[in-house]
Amino acid sequence: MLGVAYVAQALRIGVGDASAPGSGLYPALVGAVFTVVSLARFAWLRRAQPAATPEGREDPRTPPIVYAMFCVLIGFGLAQAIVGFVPALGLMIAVALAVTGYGNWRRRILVAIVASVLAALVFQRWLQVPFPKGLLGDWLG
Amino acid sequence: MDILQSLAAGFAGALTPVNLLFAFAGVALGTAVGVLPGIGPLGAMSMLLSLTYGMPPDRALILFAAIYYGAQYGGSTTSILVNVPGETSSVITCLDGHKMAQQGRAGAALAVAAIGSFVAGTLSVVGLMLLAPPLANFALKFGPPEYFNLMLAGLLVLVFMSSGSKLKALLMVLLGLALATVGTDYLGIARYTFGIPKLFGGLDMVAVIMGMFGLVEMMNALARADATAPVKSVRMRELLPTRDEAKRSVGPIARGSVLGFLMGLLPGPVVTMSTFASYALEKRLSRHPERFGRGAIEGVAGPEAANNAAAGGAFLPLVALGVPFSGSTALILGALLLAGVTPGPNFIQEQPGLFWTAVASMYIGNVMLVILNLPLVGVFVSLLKAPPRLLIPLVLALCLIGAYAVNNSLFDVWVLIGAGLVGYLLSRYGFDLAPLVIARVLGTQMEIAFGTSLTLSSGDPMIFVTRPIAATIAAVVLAVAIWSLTAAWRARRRRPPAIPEP
Repeated sequence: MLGVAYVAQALRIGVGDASAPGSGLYPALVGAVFTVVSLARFAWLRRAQPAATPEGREDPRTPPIVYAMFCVLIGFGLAQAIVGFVPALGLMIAVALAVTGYGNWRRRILVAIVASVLAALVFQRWLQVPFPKGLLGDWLG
Repeated sequence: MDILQSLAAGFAGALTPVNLLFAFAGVALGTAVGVLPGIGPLGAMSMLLSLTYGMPPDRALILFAAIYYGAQYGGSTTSILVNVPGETSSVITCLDGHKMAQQGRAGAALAVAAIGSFVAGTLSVVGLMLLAPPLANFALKFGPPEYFNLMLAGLLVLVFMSSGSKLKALLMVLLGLALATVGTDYLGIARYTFGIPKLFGGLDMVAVIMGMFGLVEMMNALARADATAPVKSVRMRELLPTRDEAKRSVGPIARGSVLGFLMGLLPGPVVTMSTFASYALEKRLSRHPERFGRGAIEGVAGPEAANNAAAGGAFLPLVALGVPFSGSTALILGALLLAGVTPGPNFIQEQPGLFWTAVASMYIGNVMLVILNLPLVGVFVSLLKAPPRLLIPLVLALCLIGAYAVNNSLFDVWVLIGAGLVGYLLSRYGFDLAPLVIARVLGTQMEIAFGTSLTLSSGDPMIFVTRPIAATIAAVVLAVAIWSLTAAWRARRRRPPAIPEP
């Protein structure tokens, strides 16, 4: 389906003609091959299933800790818009340390403060990276 | 004479304090990531990619090359002392290296691995130095159709050489090519942007690579953060191999160096494959094959030489043709592009200072690595005691900063997280991410070569198979495809029929 949608969009952009290829020609070809290969893979899987050969297949179950860590990263993306990049980074480190089970809360907060201050010094002060201040930072001026 | 003069100029550049510092930082970091299981050179380089933005190209190339070949040295340390491969290319070293450690010969195994790596690494730089300029001169005859065929050949051979499902690898290549079409193309037309202005510049390469390699590697490390193993300590005086061990190592190191360098020129996971090939070769040539797997020094010397030589060989297609054949060299290409340099056949002619400084720094880096991996091996072994529960959140924070800092864009932070999530799910379902990333890096150049070729031929697609060099490349790809499909068909015929479940 992804391949078909991709090809449809490429055709909408316009494939031009062979001597003057349009911007959609190359994506249309890539998308067409993608669709054919996906169908071949699907057919191969259907044929292979009755033989019960899990060849090449890994256990797709994801450990909950990995989902938790992705939630922490998404949480960082949302929090930085409000509290600013550096404070959100400190929060993210503290919560991520809790997810991994490192130390007690006092130690986690200490590591988070030291790491975010270091990040601010190295990247903001030294390398002049303008970290966003977030709504809170703008409000505080 | 020309080569010696150029090399002397290269050493003058490489021996400046700043470049020496970058080479040292690279080899030290490479050794560290090689020693640490779960973090590889791909992950480390992807996390540092953002730092190369605006960095002088010589420093970026020295740093990334040093991380890459440094990791090959460090991987053997963990294999020998802990029986856990620091890198995939050191898996085979566990067999005999750890057996030697159990027999009290850990020091000798580490010394032979380091010396073998040094010899192979140095020989591969000699090969690079001698072969890259003539290959680049030959590649000057390439036009857009030849380039398109070469890049296509690299990607297809990568698919045919992949150890898992070929269809899955092909899907990853196509997905990478599709990702490269997002944004404004070379004709100035915006595609797949869905009206989002941030997408007009495309999905940022650094954020995608950091997500696919860096985040995924960290998440995989997180899933096994509890796994710890006892670490053996090694004293300085234990590092000397016996005369017999040294004599038995010479042949495997020489053969491993040649085999590894030649395999390094091919696309795919050849660094790891070269170690298995070298092990098999040494076992076949040995008068005592029964020793293998029980602590044979040849089983350490050959593969460790092969992986370093292959890592060196992999630079040749990158610097002479501008085409990366592996994930790591694709990242080095990414670092050079960020630093404003595009490798290709003109690279050595247009940037001789950069090429020869990099070559000279590789010689220097190899010497640094022997020092780091023998007298200072204890320092790196102590890294194995660092708690991953602390390291993982800090490295993730570094990824977030890195993704933001390239373009000062929060959108890139979301691209990083999205690429990481998609990459992690794909890897859980057995999809290899390296073909996707290589295709993403090559995609834009491939499209330009494709479009220009068709314009040159007034729309005749035969241009890709009628010009002599293009036709030769196409014939090689066809031959590899036929060989690969035949081998797969034969393997399938040999496989016993599945027993139906009751």
